[in-house]
Amino acid sequence: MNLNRRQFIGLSTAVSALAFAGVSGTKLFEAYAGTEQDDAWIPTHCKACAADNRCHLLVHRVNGVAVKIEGNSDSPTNQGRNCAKSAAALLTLYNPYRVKFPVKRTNPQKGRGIDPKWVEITWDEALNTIAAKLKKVRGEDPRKFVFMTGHAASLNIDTDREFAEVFGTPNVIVGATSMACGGSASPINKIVNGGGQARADMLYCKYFLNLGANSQQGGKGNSEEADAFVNARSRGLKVVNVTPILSPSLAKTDEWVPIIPGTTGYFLLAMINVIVNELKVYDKEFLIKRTNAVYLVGEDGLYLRTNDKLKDHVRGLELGNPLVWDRSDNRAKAFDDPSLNEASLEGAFEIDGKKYRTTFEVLKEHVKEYTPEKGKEITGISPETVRRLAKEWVEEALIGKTITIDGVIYPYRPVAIIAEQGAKCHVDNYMVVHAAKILAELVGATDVPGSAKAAGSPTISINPVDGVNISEEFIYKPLKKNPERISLQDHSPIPGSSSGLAWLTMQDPKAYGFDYTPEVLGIWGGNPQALLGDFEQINKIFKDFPFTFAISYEFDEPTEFADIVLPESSWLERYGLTSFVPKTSFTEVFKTKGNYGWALQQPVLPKPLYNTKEGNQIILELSEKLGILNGKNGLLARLNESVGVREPFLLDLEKKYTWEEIIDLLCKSKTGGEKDLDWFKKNGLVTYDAFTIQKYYGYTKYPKARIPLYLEEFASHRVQLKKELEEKGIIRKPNNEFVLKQFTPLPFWEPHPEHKAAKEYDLYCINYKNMQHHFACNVGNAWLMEMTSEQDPYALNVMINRVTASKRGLKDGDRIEITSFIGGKVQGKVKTTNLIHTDVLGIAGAYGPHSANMNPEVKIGTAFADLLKLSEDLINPLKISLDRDLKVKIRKI
Amino acid sequence: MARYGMIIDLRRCVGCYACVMACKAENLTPKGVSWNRLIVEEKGEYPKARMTFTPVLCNHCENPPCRDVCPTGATYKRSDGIVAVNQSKCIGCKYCMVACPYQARSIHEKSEGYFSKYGLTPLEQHGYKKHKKGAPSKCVFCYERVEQSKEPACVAACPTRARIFGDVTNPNSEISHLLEKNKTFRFIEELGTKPAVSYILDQAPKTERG
Repeated sequence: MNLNRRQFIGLSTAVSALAFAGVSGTKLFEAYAGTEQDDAWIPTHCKACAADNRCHLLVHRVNGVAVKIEGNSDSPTNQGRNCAKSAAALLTLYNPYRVKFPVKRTNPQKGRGIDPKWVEITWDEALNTIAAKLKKVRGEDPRKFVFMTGHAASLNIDTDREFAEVFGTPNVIVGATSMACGGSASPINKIVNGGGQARADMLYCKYFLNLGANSQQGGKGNSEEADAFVNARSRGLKVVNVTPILSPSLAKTDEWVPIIPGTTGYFLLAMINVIVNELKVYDKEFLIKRTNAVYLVGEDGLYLRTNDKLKDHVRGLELGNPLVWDRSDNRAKAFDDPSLNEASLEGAFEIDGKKYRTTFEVLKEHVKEYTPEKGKEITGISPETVRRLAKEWVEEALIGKTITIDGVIYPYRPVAIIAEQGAKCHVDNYMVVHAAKILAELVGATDVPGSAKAAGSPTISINPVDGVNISEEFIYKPLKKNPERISLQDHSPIPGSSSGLAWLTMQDPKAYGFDYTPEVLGIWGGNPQALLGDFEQINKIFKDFPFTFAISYEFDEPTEFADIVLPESSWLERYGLTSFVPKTSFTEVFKTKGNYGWALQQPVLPKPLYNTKEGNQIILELSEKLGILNGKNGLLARLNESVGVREPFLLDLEKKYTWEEIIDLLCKSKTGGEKDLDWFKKNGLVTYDAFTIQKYYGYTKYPKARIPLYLEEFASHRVQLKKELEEKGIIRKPNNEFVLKQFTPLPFWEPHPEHKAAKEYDLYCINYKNMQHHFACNVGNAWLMEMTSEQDPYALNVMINRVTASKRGLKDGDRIEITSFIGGKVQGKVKTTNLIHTDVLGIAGAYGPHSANMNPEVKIGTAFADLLKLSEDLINPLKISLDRDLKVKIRKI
Repeated sequence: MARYGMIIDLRRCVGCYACVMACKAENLTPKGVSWNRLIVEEKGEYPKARMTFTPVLCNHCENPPCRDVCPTGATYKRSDGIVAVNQSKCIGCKYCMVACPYQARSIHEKSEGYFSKYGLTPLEQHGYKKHKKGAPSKCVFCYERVEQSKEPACVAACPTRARIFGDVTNPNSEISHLLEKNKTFRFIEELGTKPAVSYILDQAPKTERG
């Protein structure tokens, strides 16, 4: 690279003596000469969003300058195409507002938008200062170190948990989960579909009921999925969106049913009610053989079991096999009894003087109260529409039809339902996803051609005691009397992966029973101020930490609370290795190019543009300074277990490695020693034929799997949790009943906090995402922001229904103040539209970043998260994610 | 001789802006200049309303009004139909901007780049050599790529393959097949400009396309 580093660093050092590093107006690139002669296309995989690094790119470098990013046509996923985010990443690389060298603050005052007045320091000074602070707390109590990680601009995070573990702290917290986060859907996706993400099988699907997922521009905004969706439409796919907004990523729709935010759960339960109690059309064979619909439960909601004492590790109990009712023998038998002839799907039975029903019968009773009539007031959808959609759903499912693929006969159920993103960012998030799965199971549309299925090849493990699928996230963990983990995961038997509660406990750890107070905060990605909300509370926590360091690409709001910032290389200057498989459909392309493979992410310049290092490299160096790199309890030993290296390419515990060297060992490990880093540097990716279509569908890969219709483990967990909370004297906020209520084997719907807001809050306000800024780390990209502000009529404005606007005397361009029912306030510019529910305002993405040292030209738009407030009664206690639908009032300003 | 044209299948366009950014990146157009734009509009009334996407670019007219008004011959039509601009001949009179009924031209007036405080990045130093200050510029169908048998950048990038580029005089080209099989429209045809860019309407019947 020809930016003359010596000149550049010398220049900036000289400048920092005169002015502060973050604000200097130096013509940074004057030293650039561009004399190096080269012309190369460098293969790398994308990191511009978190779509599992599936898009493969070629970066054109001319005379030391990266000048173009294109899709790599070798790739079976994006097939040579690339989205706006990856094309624009050149400005992520050349962004002069990046963190360009290690800095420390000179302004002791910390707060939103307050300039820390950074000055440049050396890597040695930066790392030594951080190591000294960390050593001190490690000696006292390692738990005092809290490490916040997350996506943000730091998507190459492979060593955070390992570092925390060898340091001795349990406190790795996720910075934030946004509306878009699929995390709260993943445990249900795993137990039903065998994968953290679920997708409609676009190759065969004919009817797609979408509830809040951004399916059309790609679930996570990638080319493969957008293409699959458009191809499906050209084959006659009908798309029905039941959403409060028809956002840009839902534009291609055949029908739009506007729904009041936060009521998807009710809508789904009403659909189920119509199907099981009115239409009475369902896939009996599937329900009997492939689900737990026939299992008998007592009035306590628990399975009736044999008297065996088998170890059930999901429930942490010794239990017998669940029983079903054999109608030919007229008696109960174990679900796997070889003499079982004809299991009853419906009915109530008296056994030993006690009443038992099949779980299907329980479901039928359970959903009776969710009538389409009562729903009109709640969801805003007419009973006729609910009944019509229910009828369409069962008819389009083609129950009984089969399809033969590669000589194998499958049930053909070309209907798919996905309830993600907006539909499930609520206090009841698990339940919405569960209800959607029940709707699919009723017609047998689960993991068969045309239905929703695991994204990729499924992985399922079956509980031998009850024969039902397991989600490792639902395995009961006994509670600790005094919590250790700051995210309070020790006080939840099935702790979610998100960490919303940490931002509450850290306000007053003692009040939550912690016997320590965090003292050092490490930041490596994550932006709770922009994505989680309640910046006032969060900033107070950030301010109260005696010492904070950050590994950052840019000066986002969290980074501006740090005392020292270590500059992280951009994603085009890092190493990574990622696998790929077909995500939505096993298309011809995967059949010809291979359906499984590995792709390299590599630096596209010979040296980083600025004085930066990649985050994983920084962790290696910091570990060395702390004396926790080597030995059998060191970081390298831990990485041997976690990063995927295998014999004979394991790390030598007494050696020192660069991250690049570790990636080389990983390349060899993943290819059986055939291909090393040099090979990948030249070739980019390798593909294999790793599995057949039979292994792509859960139906054929796991013929014995039973999908839970009824989450009996939740009924069991609830009993145990109640006992544990009482015995250990644990009181969860807002109260224990609130937490216990979430452990329900069947989903229910009740009004959310926003539905109970005072009358003056007469509109809803929701957050939606768009493709060009999918993943907030792209908000700082100057090309993307210029394009958005010039060409996207919605993104930077507040969407309001045209009729509603006219009633309130509002027109395009008017400025309004929005106040949420929980006290947040933002301002925004009106954009009237016909594409949003009459009672709803829509604000896109994570715009309007508040920080002193970001490019002023990207600090535009309305920050939705500023309307949110953190409190336990707004957080789902299982998944620990914040409810993101609001009631608001507006005022013209 | 080839005559290049493009079809944009609006049934397949999901409004993702990949074409807009591919053009920006390929041509390194200066700040404020966008040769490839996406027009986002609404049709219909709530709740039957829909968002529509219409990507627009230079139409490479058979009878280009911009060429006809150019006093210096800076704007010219190549034998393959591509309307190109020789910037060294451009005197910045902007007649072409006025003459183009499609508003396909934009002018590069600022030279300070995307980060004026810091000067031009190495990327901009590399890219802006091609862009003369004060000269109205426009899409040139990426003729340098086309000459290397590559597709224009916007076509290559399009995640949903909504854009097809090719030789309309070759009866075996994909674009010729599509023009023959589908009802297409072109913008403001009544002016007699004969645009080389055609569109398949979103409401057009669904047909399978490989």
